[in-house]
Amino acid sequence: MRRSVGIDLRAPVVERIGKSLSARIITALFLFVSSLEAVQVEFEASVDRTRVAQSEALLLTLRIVSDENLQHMPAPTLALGDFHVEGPSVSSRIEMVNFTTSYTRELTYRLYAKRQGRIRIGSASIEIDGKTYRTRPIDIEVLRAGQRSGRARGGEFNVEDHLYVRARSDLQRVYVGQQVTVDFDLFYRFQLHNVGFKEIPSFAGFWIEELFVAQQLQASREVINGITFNVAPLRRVALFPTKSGAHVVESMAVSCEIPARRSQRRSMLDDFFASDPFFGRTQSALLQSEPIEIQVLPLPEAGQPKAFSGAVGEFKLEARAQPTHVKAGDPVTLRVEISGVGNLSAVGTPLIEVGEGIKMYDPTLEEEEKIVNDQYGGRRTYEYILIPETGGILEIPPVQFAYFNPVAEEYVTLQSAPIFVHSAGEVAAEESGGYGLSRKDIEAVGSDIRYIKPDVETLGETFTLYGSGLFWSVQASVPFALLGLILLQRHRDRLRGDIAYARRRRARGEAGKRLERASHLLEEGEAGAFYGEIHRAVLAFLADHLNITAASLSPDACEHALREKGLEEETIQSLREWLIRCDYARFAQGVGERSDMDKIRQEAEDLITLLEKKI
Amino acid sequence: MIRALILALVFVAFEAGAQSASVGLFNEANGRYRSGDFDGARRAYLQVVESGVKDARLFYNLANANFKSGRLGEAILWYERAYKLSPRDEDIVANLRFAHQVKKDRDPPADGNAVSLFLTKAFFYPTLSELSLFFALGWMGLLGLLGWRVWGRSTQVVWLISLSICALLTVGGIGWLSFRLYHQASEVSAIALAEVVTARSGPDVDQTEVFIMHEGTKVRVVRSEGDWSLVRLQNGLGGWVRIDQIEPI
Repeated sequence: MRRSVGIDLRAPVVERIGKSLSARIITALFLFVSSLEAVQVEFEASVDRTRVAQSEALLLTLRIVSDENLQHMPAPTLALGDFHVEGPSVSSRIEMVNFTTSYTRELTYRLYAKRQGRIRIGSASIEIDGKTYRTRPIDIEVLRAGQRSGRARGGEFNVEDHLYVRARSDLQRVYVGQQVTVDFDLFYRFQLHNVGFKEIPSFAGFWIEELFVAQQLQASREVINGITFNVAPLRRVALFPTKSGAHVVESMAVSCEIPARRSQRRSMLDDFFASDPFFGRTQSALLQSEPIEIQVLPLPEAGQPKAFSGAVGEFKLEARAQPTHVKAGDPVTLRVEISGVGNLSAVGTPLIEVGEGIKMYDPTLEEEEKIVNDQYGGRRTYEYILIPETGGILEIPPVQFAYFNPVAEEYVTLQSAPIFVHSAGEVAAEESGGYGLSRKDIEAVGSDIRYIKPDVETLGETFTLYGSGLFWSVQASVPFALLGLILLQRHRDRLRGDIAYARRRRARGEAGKRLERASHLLEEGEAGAFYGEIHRAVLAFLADHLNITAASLSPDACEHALREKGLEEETIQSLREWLIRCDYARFAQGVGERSDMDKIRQEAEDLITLLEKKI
Repeated sequence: MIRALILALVFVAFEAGAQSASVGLFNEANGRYRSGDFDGARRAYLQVVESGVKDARLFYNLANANFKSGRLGEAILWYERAYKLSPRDEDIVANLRFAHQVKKDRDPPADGNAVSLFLTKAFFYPTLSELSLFFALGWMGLLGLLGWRVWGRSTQVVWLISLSICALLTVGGIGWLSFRLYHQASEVSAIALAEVVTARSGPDVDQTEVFIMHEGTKVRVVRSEGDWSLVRLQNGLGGWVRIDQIEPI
């Protein structure tokens, strides 16, 4: 299609012609004649390479060559949806070869691929003089970081390893209306120039609040896999999902200029900032963050309170009425303040149901946004005007406001305390078609002392606590009562825990009972049983006192134990004799006379008393 | 034994009789007051007082009768006496304040800065009975906690904290109460009953006049010599007045 035209001779001709008027006219004629012919156009597209890294620019050149100088060159149509496009930059030149002039117009686009993989650049078209010219489609391959485009192969230097944008969200699974914070950070190891946002995600499906936008790079250092990076936050947004389902935060593109590579000496790359191999010329780069997927859950249907209006977060409710003492018909301002963190715009007008006697006007709204610790929130203040229409104490019922707490995953209903408004008097009655509004304070017209106390049933000294003897005696007796209780408790504890003590304490009582029983037997004339009982009484008493089993207590064992206790020989002897006598009488049936029995019983009592004292 | 019982019964009966007589007289006085016979009411109330009854209601009504019959000084005196017995009675406080407003002398401002005035007010704020109650609560609590300890049913920290609180209540209550009782016993206040009372620089009519006060003014009695008493006003100004012109509360 392209015509070959020699240009070498033309150029001097033009010069020459230009020097005279006649020559100019000839040229004009020549041009006129040539314009009558159909225009010869050549339209082609070319790229500087077919393998390219995602952060690198791909240069697409559309060249339009015509044999005439086209006055109106229409813009070519070209679909570049898969790319971020810069340009085009336009250059034109005229060539003359063998008296043939060709006009070349080049449009150069700088393209950055939006995705990886094989991308086809569709054919571009242009319409000139009613005729459409098309280019051939071009296939290119977009490589990931770690892979490498054309000139340098894997293992070589790789821009993405040293420069990238990272998008990160604090939550991946949120409820509708819950805040999710997304950070876009720039990681770099080069000196960067002209850093700018190329494309901001649309955040479809979210309501957004910008928390931070970098005006300049403010980097901190961070070591990742042993390599020190400069990390500069670029943007931080609070997103509030508006509907449930899977949402994608699209990638953000950042363009910048990095120093152009001059050599491929790898040994210097490990130097921080790699300053040596990069200086002087710059090359542009486009960085794109990875898309983030966020799962948005619907708010639970169950347990949704009536007062719920869609607020998600954590809120506080405060309701104040001012003033609380008014004359009927005067306005009371009720301020309901809802503050906290969350999607403030979803905070609806709180529910207030005033009863009869109060007229309520629609509220005015004041909103104040606030970002605390990257949590978007603030305060909404609703101001109601209430007019008490009657006198008396009127109640403004509790103000209700409900929100969903995504952390606790439950609905919370807040309720303010009821407010009472003291309204004085009545609203003035209607007078001749209008309201009289001339109420006055109650005037004190006189003052006097309070009246006397009423008649009484009894008169007496007015009771005073400090003057009461009973009061002080109670106070004084409390420590004694306490002491008594403690001693009682000690005693009980000991009885429970110390068997020897318990037996000893009970010994006398038990012995007394046995003696009593013996006396009964004596009355009944049961001599054998009497001796047996009285014998047992003394032995059991001893056994209890010495904390040994009565069965194992023979007279010998008895003596031994008493001797160990340090009892004098005389008492032991008399006890021994008594036991022998008792035994003797017990087995010599019928021998016992009444007086002997009385005597032996008395002796038993004396012995017990004596032993109790001595042991 | 039986004789003692009978004696006791007789005494109780007598007491009851006296009691019912006082009550009757009191109610009769109330009737006179209602019908506007304030002088008669006052006399009847005084009779009840003379029988030895010390009842805040009686003192209050007597003060009212005095007030209505134009005896401002005596009214204030009896209001003060009633107040001493029943400091939380709103009627007494209100009428006492009212009577003080009616009297001729404006009370001189009390001496001292804001802090000391506040402390004084705080010191006198709780009634003696309330202080006794604080003490009793603390004391019972203290002993209870000690007992609790003996029975060994407590955690150390809670027990210690409670013990400290109770100890504070006990010591604070009894200390405060003692100070107040001491103050009550040592500080004698009096009310000027004469229409005009002249205070002099010494206990003699020839002494220089220091200040003049009027019926109803409250003074502190420092000491007495013969027919004269040295009194001090609230602002510290002192002078000798005739003992029959004032009446201790």
